Amino acid sequence: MNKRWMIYTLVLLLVVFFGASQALASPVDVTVAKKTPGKTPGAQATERAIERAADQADDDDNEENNGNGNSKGKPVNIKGILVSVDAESLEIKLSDDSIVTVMITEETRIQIPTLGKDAAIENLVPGVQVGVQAREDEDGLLIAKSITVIPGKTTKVHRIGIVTEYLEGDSITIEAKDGESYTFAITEDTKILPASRADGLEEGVRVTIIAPRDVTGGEPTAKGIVIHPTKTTEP
Amino acid sequence: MRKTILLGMVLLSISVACAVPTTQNPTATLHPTPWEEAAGALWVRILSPADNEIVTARSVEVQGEAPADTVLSINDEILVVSADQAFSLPVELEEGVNVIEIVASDYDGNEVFFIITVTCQP
Repeated sequence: MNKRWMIYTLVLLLVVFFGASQALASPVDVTVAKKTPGKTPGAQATERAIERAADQADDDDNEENNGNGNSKGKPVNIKGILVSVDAESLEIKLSDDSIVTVMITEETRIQIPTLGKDAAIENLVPGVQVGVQAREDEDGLLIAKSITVIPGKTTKVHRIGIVTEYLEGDSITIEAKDGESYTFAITEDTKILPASRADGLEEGVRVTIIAPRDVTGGEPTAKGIVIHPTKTTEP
Repeated sequence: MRKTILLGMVLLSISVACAVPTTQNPTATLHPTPWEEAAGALWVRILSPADNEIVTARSVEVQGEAPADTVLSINDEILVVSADQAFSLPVELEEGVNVIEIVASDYDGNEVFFIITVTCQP
């Protein structure tokens, strides 16, 4: 009798532990993001567009007041690799290799660091890393508020070298550590730092030039020129 | 009796092991702060914000440490690290995912960079 009671207790304990472990192991956020739509993306987008139009008509005043055009729904943030994109939706591969579908609307903002505010859906290329701020609607569909391309490289470069030619207000040429010469255009927006050393900008001085990463092959414009102090060695 | 207890312990161990989440949250922080990068004699430590951080404010303070005279570009701003080896710069955020790009270089041409994403969710 005693032995049987112990077996029952053990089995009961195991059931409780196993149930709890499964609940703990399920990733809540991923479940939300992975909801697979039952209809085709195009059909869902059309359906949502109709609903949104109706919602907007009702909420126009509120939206103007708070400046937040898509205030409904649970916010979901997604980061991953863009797998595919069309006018209505995009697919993103997450770090666990699962694929999430996010709907695009006319209000979805596209941000690409190299293009600034001129970016459009057509500029999204599969293979890039993206961060998406979305909202989950009542049907479990994810609607993108903004899509941001996260660059793999920085959009700016620092070039360090000795000034070989300086034409004030026009251009500056340096010889970098790699032995190559680099020329940068100077505009009125080019910052020369520190201000206390600005008068000392001349040939022979070591500088760091900050410029946009050149992808066109043309002469890049210096965004900033930092003049380094002359290194002196202790006697 | 002993067999029952042994079997129970084995099953208990398995269920506890299953309790460890195996699937990574897609929005998990990839680079917890401080995030440090180094190249040659140059080192840069980012204290805030953390990569993948979600904030409600419209701006965030980029704070870090680096050797004096390190040249930094933080998005469109340029600064030179002062003698106390600390730097701090407010960065405006737009609603949604923001990319903060930090490039640092020193006198000898060493360079490191950071690409931090911060989500502004007011």
